[in-house]
Amino acid sequence: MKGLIYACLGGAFLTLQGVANAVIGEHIGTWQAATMTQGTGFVAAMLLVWLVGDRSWRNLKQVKLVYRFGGAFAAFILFSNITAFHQNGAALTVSAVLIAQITVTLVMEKMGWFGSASLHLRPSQWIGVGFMVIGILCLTF
Amino acid sequence: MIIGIVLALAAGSLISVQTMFNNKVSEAVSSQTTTALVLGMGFLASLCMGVLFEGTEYFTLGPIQPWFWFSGLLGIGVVTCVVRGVKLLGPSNAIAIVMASQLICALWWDSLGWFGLETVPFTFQKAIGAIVLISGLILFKAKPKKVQKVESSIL
Repeated sequence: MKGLIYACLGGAFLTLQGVANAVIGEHIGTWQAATMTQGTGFVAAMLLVWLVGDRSWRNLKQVKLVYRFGGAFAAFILFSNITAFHQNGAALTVSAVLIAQITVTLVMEKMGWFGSASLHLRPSQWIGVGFMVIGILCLTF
Repeated sequence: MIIGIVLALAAGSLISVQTMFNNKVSEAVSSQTTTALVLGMGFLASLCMGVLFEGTEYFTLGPIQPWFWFSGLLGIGVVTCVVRGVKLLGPSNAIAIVMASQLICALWWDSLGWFGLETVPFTFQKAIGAIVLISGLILFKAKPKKVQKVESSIL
C-alpha cells in the first residue's frame, strides 16, 4: 500500500516536473532549465540530509562505481528527448519513451539483471502490459 | 524520423537503467542521500552538456522568475517517491504504476488547463485510452488465488 502511494505520487511529481521544465526552458533555455532544476534540487536535498542528520552516505563506498553515476543519465535522456521531439513531435516521442521504459524495465527484471530476483509473468500479466501500451498510444496520439 | 524514434527508445531504455542504478544506490544508503546523489549527478551532467552544446552562450540567461529557484523541490519529490516505490514494489510493478499515474495526471491537468497550459480537450479517444491503461495495470497487478488451491489439494 505504501509503495502504491509512493509510485502514484512519483508519477504526479513527474508530470509536474515536466510542466515546470517546459515553462522554465522557454524562459532560459532547455539545458539551463535542466541544470537549474537539478542544481536547486541537489542543494535542497543536501540540506535535508544535513537537517535529519543522515550519515548513510558513508556507505556509498559499498555501491559499485557505475551505479553512482545513474543520475548523470538525465542529461543523455534529455538530449535524446529534445532531438526526437524536434524530429517527430510530442505524440510519437512520448509514447516511444514510455513504451521503451516499461518494456526494458520488464526485460531487465525478467532477466534478473542488477541482482534482483528474476520476475515470472503469467499470460494475463503480459496481456496487462499489452493493454497499457495500447492505453499509452490512445492517450498520446 | 527513424533517428528520432531510435533516440526516443534509447531515452526510455536509459530511464529504466537509471531506475535500476538508483535502486542499487538506495540499497546501501538512505533515500535522502540517494536523492541528493542522483540530482547532483544530473546537475553536473546537464551543466557539462549545456556548455558543450552552447559554449559561452549557455551562461547568458533570460530573466529568472523567483519560483524557478524552487523547481528543484519537484525533482526531490520525483526521485524520493520513485526510489521508495521501486524499493517496496520492485522495478516493473513500481514503474507501471508511476507511468499510469503520470499519464492520468497529465490528462487531468491538460483537460482543465491547469498551470497556465493550453487546455487540451478531453476526447472519447482519451477516455478509452485511460480506461484501457488502467485495466492493463489492474491485469498486470492482479494476483491469482491459485496458490491456496494447490496447498489445500496437497493437504
